[in-house]
Amino acid sequence: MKHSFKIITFSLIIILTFNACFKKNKLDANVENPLLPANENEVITTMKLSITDGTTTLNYQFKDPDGDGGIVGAYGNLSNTLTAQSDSVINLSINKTYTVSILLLDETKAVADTISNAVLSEGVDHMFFFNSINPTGNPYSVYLTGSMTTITYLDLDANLRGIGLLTKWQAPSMAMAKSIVTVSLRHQPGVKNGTYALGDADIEIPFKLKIN
Amino acid sequence: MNFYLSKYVFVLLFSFLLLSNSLKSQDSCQINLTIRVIDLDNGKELESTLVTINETKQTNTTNAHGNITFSNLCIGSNKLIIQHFGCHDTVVTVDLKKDLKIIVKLPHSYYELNEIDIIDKQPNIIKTQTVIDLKDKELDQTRGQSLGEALKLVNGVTTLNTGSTISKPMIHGMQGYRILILNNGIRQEGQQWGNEHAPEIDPFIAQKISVIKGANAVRYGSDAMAGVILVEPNDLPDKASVTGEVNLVGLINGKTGIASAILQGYFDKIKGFSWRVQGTLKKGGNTNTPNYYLKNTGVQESNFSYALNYHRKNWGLETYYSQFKTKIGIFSSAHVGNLTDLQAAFNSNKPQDSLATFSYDIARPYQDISHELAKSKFHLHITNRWKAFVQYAYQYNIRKEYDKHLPKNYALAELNKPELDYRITSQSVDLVLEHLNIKSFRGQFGGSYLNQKNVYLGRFFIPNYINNSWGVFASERFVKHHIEFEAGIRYDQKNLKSFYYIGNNLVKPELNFNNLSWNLGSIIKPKTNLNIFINIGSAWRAPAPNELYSNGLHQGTGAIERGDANLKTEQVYNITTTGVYQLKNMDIELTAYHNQFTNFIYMEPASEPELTIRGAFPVFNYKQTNARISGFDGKITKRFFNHFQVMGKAMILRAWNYSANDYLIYMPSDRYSVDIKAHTKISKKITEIYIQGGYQYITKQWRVPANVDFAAPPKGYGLLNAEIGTYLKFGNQKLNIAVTASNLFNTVYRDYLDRFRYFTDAQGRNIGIRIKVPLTIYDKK
Repeated sequence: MKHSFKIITFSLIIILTFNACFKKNKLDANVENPLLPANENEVITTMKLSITDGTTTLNYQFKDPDGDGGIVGAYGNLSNTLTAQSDSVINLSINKTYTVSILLLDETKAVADTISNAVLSEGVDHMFFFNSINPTGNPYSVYLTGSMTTITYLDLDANLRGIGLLTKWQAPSMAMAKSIVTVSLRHQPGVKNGTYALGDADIEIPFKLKIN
Repeated sequence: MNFYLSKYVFVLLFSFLLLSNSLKSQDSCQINLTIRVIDLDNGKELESTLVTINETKQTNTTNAHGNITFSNLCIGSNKLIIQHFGCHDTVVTVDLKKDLKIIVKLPHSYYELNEIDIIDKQPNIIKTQTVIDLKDKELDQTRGQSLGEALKLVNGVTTLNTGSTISKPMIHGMQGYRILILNNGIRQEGQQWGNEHAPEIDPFIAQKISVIKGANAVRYGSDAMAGVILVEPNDLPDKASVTGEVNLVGLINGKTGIASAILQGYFDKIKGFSWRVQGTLKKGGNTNTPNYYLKNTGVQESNFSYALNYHRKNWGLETYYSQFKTKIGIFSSAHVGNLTDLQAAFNSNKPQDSLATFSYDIARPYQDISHELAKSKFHLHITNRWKAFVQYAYQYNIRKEYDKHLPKNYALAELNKPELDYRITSQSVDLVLEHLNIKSFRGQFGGSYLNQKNVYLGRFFIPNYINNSWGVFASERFVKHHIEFEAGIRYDQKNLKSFYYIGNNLVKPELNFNNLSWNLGSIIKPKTNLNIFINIGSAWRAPAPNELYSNGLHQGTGAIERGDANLKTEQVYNITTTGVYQLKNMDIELTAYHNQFTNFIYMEPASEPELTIRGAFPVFNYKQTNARISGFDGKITKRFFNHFQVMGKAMILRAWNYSANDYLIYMPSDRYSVDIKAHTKISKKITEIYIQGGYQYITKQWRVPANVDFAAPPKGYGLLNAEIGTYLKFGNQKLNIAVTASNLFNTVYRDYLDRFRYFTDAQGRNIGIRIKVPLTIYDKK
């Protein structure tokens, strides 16, 4: 009796020690073949600005191939464009009015995921800002002093506030030297009220605007 | 209190303590006591018997003739605790009136009396390194705090914090890879690489926490550069009994509740079996600063462990399993932002996500961490003096970090996956052979092997890797009455294979490192109550995978970190000297240390921030430099009229980066504290009531590298803490109840070594209640 109790206790030690472990992920065994970076979750890699005056379309972009960190992001390098950009300078012409639409992509996926669709459908939690300025008026509009350009929001969220995926850019009547225009997307869940400072940055890219 | 004033007060206090003692100890405390220890059965003189005088805490070992002399003892009753290898601990009370010689006959070893091996209970071998223990009442005081916070009681230990819920211990300004934590004898192998990764250990398992200051590579591993932290559970019982302990802690700040229980026993029916089960639950909500609540700063923790030992006459088998699980909310305004957001956060008085109300909810961003440890140890007494043990340990650590926001894509958001997911599996084997007193020599020899696999599932930050390392060591100690010498040497080899992508190409670099480390130490005992510990040693560590290959945005630090694949071995030469002087009414403990580093690995900020799709982020590159870290820890405890105690502490540290010709970043500033305690016994039932207050002043860290940090170091601050408590006796049960208060004045402050200082004030006043109930369910005397 005493003997069998010992055996039971001993087996208990061994069973408890080697069996009570956490459930492992099958990928744990796969040390030598790591997953390709960031293919499980969402990464915004690319912002494309498509700028049209009705006849000509200019395309500008910033692409960070693996999201923030890792490979360094860069402007330009568009292949499928009418007028490809070589640096961060956006060239507009005096007195012209442009329609600007923004496209956001996750290009780490085999089939690029269009993040801007999600931004549009969650418009109440997202807003684009230009040079961190809180827009005024109805519809929302922003005046960029450096380039004397007025940007008007053309889209609305469910609360009838602008989102900024689609905007109208009115160039001034005189040539202007290069000045910064920072395009930022703020994620403002539950607090969006047209103020820049709320929430945090999903995107923040400075371009330069030149009026020719 | 400003900086200069507080310094002045401390100097005054220290000199007062010294002076008052030298005046007092003239008369009644000049008695010498000589003790001769012999074996009860065969009359042999017992060398190396450890004798402790309970009243003065003087401790020493007998010489080759079994003799020992204590001087400067005071008139009155003194309790002697006599411990010898293989004998039961014996307590003798002597009433001292004048110089006295006594002979103590120790009952013979259990070898013939007891068939059960209790050899693990031998007195701790005093090492030549500086060891500071936290146990008993001091440990009681830390209940409810995380391991890192508890360790702050040890002079020389500070923490690197991420808010109030994540604290990483720092010994002499060094943390992470440069510290070893031994959890129940096993090297804790978690995810040490991040500054916001706290050790994954339940502090309630510990009945003793020890800090060994200084390089200690030989015995514990080549990378024990700054020191070693030992987290040790109680010994299991060796007599038929079932005992336990329940700890309950409630804290107002965060409305935190913690419950922990231990139950341990010894089977009456079958000799040699003992067991323990232990578990802890913790839940806390949003903490508050003096002026506002911090959103999403709750914490949840659930841990358990069990142990089962089987001991025979000359061998024993121990098994241990522990599981640690925690979910820690990260203050949402402190989650990574680009430079624009950071700047906005520094400039605002109040963080964006400060709240007016309390909540227990933990939302994104948060960390979800699990750690499990299984251990099996077998020991064998080969002969009377030779003992060997072999132990195997398995550890598995899962670290999941959830970013602030879910993916925008609905399908992905539905999955609610962590953005960062790291799993590390470690297996280790240790083999140690040790001998006791062969002609005044004691020694240890051994080897260890570690195999480690790291896998990431989410976003890339550090690569997958396989690490294989092994080491062998030998250490001998020469023990005589007034002096001890120790010398040790160790050789380690490490192989690191990493697997990661550059673009779409999988690369598999393989690195090999090997090196020697050594230490020389001595304890000089000019008087029985004055011990001087001197230790000189070297230690080294191979660059870690994150230092070599990390490449990405580290959410924990809000910066892009880039490793350097060409990093070389980091090496340190350390000298640590400690003097411990114990008088009847006063203890003095002073430690001075110097660390000379070659190829010290650190992060250097790049001159230009890097533009990412989310805006510009600061970039830090891993670099190597020659550096030094040196300093001083001092502590004086003075007891008055049997009921009062005053303790003064000071910690001073200097660190220098030779290649940048500037200070090292993130080093603790100088700090001073004074604690006053009054205690008395009321009756047999109320064995102690006490009231204590402590004031700690942390100076401003102005020794920082120029133009590196995001924000200037915050100004110095002082905090007042207080505690009222009692120890009560109900039959066999001894209860401890205490009401505690930290930051009693609700001081608004920010600490240089808290990452949240960029975003928010630190935690405000916290009042708590602590109850410890020891249980004796069954005890067969």
